[in-house]
Amino acid sequence: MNEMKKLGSAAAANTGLLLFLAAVPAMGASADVGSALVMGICVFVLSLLTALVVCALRKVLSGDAVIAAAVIVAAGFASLLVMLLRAYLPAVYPTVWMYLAVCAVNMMLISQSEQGLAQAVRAGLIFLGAVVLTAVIREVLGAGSFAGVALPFMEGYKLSILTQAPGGFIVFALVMAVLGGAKKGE
Amino acid sequence: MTVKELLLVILSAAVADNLVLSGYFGFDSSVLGANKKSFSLCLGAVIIVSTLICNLLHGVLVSMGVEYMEIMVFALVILLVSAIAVKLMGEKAPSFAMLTLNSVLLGVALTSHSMGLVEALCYALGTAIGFWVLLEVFASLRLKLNNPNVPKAFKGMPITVLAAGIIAMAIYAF
Repeated sequence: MNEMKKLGSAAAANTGLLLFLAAVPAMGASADVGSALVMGICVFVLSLLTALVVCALRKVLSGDAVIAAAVIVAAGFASLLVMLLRAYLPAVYPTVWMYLAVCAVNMMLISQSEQGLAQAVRAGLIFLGAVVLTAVIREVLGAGSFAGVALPFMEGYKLSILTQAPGGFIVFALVMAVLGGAKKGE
Repeated sequence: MTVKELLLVILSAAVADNLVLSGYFGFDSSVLGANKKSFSLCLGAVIIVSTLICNLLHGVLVSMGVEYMEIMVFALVILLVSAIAVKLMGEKAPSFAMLTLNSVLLGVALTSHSMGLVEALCYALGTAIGFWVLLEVFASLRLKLNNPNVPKAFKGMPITVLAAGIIAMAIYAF
């Protein structure tokens, strides 16, 4: 429990670490802008709802029990969001659902929900910004399009590796460096 | 499935379709837990056991018509198996949080739920082997990356993620 609290406090003070803890859904759902936007909003909502319940549970639970309860609560809300996606946004569902499901055991979500509601909202918003920024870079440079609309001037200059798994790592590392460095004034 | 096919499933899960490098699952934990020797052993055992239980439970959930509950049920299974593993390993065990909050566990359970039991077992075994290799790679990588030539903004996590991207590119060539 102490380890998670320490990690949560460190992540709250360090944007780079906060983004690193959310790396899995951020890299997984950032191959195109539409999926990234949906993922960002879903994680923001999930973060907010989980923090609301966990803040209430913190008064009656302690130690590792808080983590276990937070995981179950997050899994419940993640299931709900996955069902909503399947029903109302079937186009992005195949790319987003699994990364949304694993958010139930995401370190950023659980550690920040323990830090309180305000911190969970802040983390959700930072995640939303980072995942959309990553997706814009990956889609424009990798697929030569923006939100599914082809960009004629990018024809012939596409770096298709950016839309694949290695591109996710590389672009997200750059986004982490920029956002983390901007916070520190570097 | 023949033995050859099962061996291919293990090899594929460990190298070519490595969940960490091709799907990002468990990447954060593999870097954070890279310096803990007992972590990979414990996680490997939890991956195999929880995948087997989740695979069996998936059939039950489908037959009951409550497939939509699988994320919650799988998360609960992972919590229980992780708690038992931590209890069994005693003082050498990694922390409960580091073990439970590892997306590779839920990732393997969700990707292998429609496989047969033996195939899912081989897939989990391959993933555990792949994860262990990556833990070792990241542990040595972090030592090398901890030098003053790294630009200030890239120090710490960004340079590690960038290095992982280069490793992923090498794996991608398969």
